[in-house]
Amino acid sequence: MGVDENVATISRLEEAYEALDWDTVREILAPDFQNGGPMGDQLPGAEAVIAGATQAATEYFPDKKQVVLDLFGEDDKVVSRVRLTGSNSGKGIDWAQIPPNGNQVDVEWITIYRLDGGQVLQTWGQMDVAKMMMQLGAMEGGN
Amino acid sequence: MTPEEMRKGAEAFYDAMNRKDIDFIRENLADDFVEYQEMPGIPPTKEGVIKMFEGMFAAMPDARSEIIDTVVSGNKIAIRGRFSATQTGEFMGMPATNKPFSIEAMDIVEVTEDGKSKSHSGVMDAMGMMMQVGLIPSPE
Repeated sequence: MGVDENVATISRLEEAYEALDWDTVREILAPDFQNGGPMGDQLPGAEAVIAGATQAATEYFPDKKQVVLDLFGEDDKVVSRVRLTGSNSGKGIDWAQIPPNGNQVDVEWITIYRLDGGQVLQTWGQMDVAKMMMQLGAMEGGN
Repeated sequence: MTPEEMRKGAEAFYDAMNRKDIDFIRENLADDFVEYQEMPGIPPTKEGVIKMFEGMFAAMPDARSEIIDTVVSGNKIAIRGRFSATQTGEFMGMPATNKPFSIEAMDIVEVTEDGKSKSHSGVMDAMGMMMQVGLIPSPE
C-alpha cells in the first residue's frame, strides 16, 4: 500500500471513531496492534481500545466531537492531529473520581500510525490528559 | 524542501534548543509564526515563544530534547521526541520541583518555502511529567 492509501485508511479510521462505527475500527486496527497512545498499557489491542472509546463516547462524553486538524503520511506512517471536544454530561468518571459536572473538555491528540497491508500495526500518541483533568476539575490549574 | 532538508531543519532546531541558542530560534521563526499549543501566560506569537524559551532555558538549565522519529509530507513535519529536564526555577507560574523528569512529546511544524517555522502544534505527556516529579500520585 502506498502513502495515499495509508492516509485514506487513517481518514476512514478517524471518521469511524467520530461516527462510533466500531466495525470499521475493527477492520483497520490489527487485533493485536501495539498501542503506544495515552493509557496504551491499559488498552492493549483493538478490542480494549474499542471498549474504552465506547465508554468515553456513550457514558462520559455523550456529545463528544472530534475534528481532524492535520493528516499526512510518509512511507508506512501516517500522522493525525485531532481536536476532541465534549462535556461530561453523562456519568461520572469513577477511576478519576470525577462526578458528572457538565464541564467542557477541549484537547488535542496527536498520533503516529504505522500501517502494513491496510491495517494499523502500531501507534505512538499523546493526548493532553493533564489539561483534560484540569478542565474536568479533577486537578488544579488550567484555563 | 525535500524530506531530508525538512529533517535536517528539525535537527538543527533541536540542537539549538539543547545549546540554548535563542538567536538561532529567533532567526528560525517566521515573523508571522503561529503557536497552536496553548501555554499559560504565553501569547501564541513569535515573541511569545521566544519568551517561553528564555524562561525554559533559565528554569531548566539541564533541559535536553531529542528526536526519536519523524514523518514528513510537503511543508509539514511531525516529530516524536523526548524531553528530559529538571525544573530548578519558576516556569510559567509553576514553582521549581528540583526533580528530574523525562517524557515523550509530539510536535507538528509547518515550514515556509525558505525553511523557517511557520506554525507549531504540540502535545506533551504533561501527566507523566507531573507524576515523575511527584505533583500528582502515580497509578499502581
